[in-house]
Amino acid sequence: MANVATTNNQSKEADALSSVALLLAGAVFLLMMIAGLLMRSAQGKLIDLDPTLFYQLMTAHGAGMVGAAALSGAAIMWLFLGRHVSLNKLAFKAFLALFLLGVVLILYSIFVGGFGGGWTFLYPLPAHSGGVWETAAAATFLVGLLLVGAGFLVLYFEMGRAILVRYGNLSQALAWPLVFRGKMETVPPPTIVASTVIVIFNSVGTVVGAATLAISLINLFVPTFEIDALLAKNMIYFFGHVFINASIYMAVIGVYEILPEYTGRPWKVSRPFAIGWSAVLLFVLAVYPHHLLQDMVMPPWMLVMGQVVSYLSGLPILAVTAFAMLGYVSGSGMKWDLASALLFLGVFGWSVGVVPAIIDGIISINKVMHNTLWVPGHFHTYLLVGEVAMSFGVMAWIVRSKQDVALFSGLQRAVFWTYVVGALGFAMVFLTSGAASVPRRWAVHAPEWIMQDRIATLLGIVTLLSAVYFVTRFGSRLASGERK
Amino acid sequence: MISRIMTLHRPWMTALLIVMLCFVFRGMLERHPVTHIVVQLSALVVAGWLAGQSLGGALPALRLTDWNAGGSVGILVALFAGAFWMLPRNIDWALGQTSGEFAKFVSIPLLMGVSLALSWSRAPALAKCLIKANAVSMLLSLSWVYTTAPERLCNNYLLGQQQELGSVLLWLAIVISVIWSVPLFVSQPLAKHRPANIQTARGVST
Amino acid sequence: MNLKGKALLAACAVSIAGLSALWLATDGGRALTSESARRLRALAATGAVPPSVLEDSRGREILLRSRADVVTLVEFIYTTCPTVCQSAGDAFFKVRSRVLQTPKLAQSVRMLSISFDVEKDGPDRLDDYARGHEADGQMWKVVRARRDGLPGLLDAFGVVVIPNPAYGYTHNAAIHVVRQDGHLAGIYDLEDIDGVMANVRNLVGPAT
Repeated sequence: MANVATTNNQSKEADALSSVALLLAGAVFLLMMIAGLLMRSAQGKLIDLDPTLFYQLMTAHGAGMVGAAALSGAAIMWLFLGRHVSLNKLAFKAFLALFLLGVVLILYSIFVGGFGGGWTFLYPLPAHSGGVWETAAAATFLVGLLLVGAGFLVLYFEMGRAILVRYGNLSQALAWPLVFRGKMETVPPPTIVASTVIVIFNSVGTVVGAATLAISLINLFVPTFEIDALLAKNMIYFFGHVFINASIYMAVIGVYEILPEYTGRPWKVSRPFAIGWSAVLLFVLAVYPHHLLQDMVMPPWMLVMGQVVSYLSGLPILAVTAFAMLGYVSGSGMKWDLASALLFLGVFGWSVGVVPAIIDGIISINKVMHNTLWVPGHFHTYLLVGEVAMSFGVMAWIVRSKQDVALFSGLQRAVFWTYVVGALGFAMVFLTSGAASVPRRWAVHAPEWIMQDRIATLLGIVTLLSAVYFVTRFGSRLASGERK
Repeated sequence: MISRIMTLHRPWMTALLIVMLCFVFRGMLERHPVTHIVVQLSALVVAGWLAGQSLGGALPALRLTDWNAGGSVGILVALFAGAFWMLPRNIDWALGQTSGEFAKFVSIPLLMGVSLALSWSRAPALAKCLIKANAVSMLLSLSWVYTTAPERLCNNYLLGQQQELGSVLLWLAIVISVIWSVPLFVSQPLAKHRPANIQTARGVST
Repeated sequence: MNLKGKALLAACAVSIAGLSALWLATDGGRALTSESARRLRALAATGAVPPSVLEDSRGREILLRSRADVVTLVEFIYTTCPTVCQSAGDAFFKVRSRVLQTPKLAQSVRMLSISFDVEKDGPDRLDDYARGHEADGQMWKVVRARRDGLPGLLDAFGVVVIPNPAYGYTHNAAIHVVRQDGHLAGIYDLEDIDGVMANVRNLVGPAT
């Protein structure tokens, strides 16, 4: 990239910090996959799991996976943004510290306090456990999330600050002169455009999320201060939607930065690219009502907006990322190795995952499908095959060596394809179960669903094994200092 | 020394005027929580801020560059004072007792306004940003508290007035987020081709 | 960001001072509003109420602290109040029924509904309120404060009365328990009859 202006020392330290964070995220991915496997095998009656524990695991799995996806995304964004602007590493350390402290509180609230209200802490469930958990456990969970949110704000504001220092204002960093006038003196690189969009919308999302958490906390201790349940749901899903989407968008930055090393063609900010990302800035904030299509008391215009924006929101970035990627890759004579293959898979999974999302975003379909396994099917596609694959790809790229391209014919290739089959298959089972109206969030399944659960368990094991390979390979190569 | 401050720095006079107006019209301002909290208390902070600018200009030593490095201590003082006056019982104290009224008129300009004026510009951009984000988030939560609380939180105000305060705080949150974020999009670009690793105090906010 | 040396020291000192101030200002995190603060203070029973002189509907002097062997329950009202003060009358009616169930309590408790609306609450209105809530004029008296003693009286109880444009006044209504020695010993919501009775039983002592 043209504007690499950071010194070697700085970028090395950025690498080290990001690697630590990625390794941590990788470890959480593995642990949470085990939690997911336990749930699927319990539904398949392969093991005996107390339903209370099932919901604790479900809460941990949700919070842990969202957290790990966001953590790995943040590490990738930090790593590559550091190529273009000068970041203060103290901010990343503060972020990691707040994040870890939050995780400790969340785990404590779930496995010691017994909190099992789901990661979305949907009001008023945290306050009405029916005796399953104490108020203190719910409060600990919320405070944990609040700390994680505070950590992200620290990180985003530092990134925003650094971008402003380098580019003067956000319009420049978003390439708005290019968007509106069609030309621009110095066009910022894709990483800057994407990072700026993410910093803006996720800061908004996190501030709203923090307010929601504060309100829920007050309600826990002063129950007479009631929250309008619909308002609470709106705020939670606004925050939740924005936050999980940000984790994918952050990871995509890795694709923009790494693939050119393989194709030899630099990823440029074209006018459609800039328009696509600016559109995302609006859409990602406006699309959240598609999570509330079942709430018929919502103002109809919001639901219609949710449906319409659902169609639109996935497309711009897909167009400027997936199609552009195909363009860059085809005919470039690029060499495949584990890193490039996983990154390619990530963009593929993310693109494919949008399809069931758009289907579920149609009001008439959502009424039937929303509480089925279709929805986990959708987000497992674009997380497990999308964000997680991209993260594994960046991990493999960090510890890549010259022989990797040659080795890709052997074990690495086998493990890669195992992951493709396992992860895609695992998500597909969710989708087919959803299409057959199998409900989601049920600890105990009816006998006719059990076969699907068992197939999913098998595919889950396969996925887990290949994920173990990716993460341990990354960890051991990091430890032995075998880096570029 | 005082004459030098007076002649050189007019904000000092404005500050005095604001405090006097707040005091003279306190009966009117304190009748409703919106004019009390949003107008009078904010005006007192502004007065302190103006006075602090004058003081800092006339006596740079007051900025305490070593004891108050990066403005951290002054900002902490202001945050604690803000938290203190956010408690409903202290608003009652200021309304019901002379000691409370006195404490309000002295502590808010001094501990919030003056200390912020002597510290804010030196704070790291990241810290400023976090404080601003927290302020917005806090305003949203408080707005919710005041609009939904089923009982009166201040014995000196009616439930309806409390709810009006809640809606005003919501609008305040929206307005200040716009005021704080719009300039980020339109401010002048910095000099071209500035090296990325340059250390500069210019940040997200000023 | 770079907190070092003196600034770090100062920041720690300010944080400790600030947290302590907030701790003290909230009675150890227990009271964020003046209403909860005055209830906490009452439970500690540290403040004696003033020996106020009140008057009944016939202009007779009634003492807030009359005998050293009775517990006095106090409510502040204004008789034209359409809402809370009528609930206050109901609450006192319920308390009296409970008190009368045990002879020892009946001898050791008296109740005062004190009007702070010294202008408008003349003898007729006090009588009306008493009749409306079946106050007997012996054990439960409906009285009004005297103008000169009113501010001190309200202040001692922590009662704030503010004009309400819709009707009369708004005030923090509650049942106040005054111990035999004249100390304020508990403040309860109008619904919390059980809390009032528990406190009274405790003050009057066993064999009840």
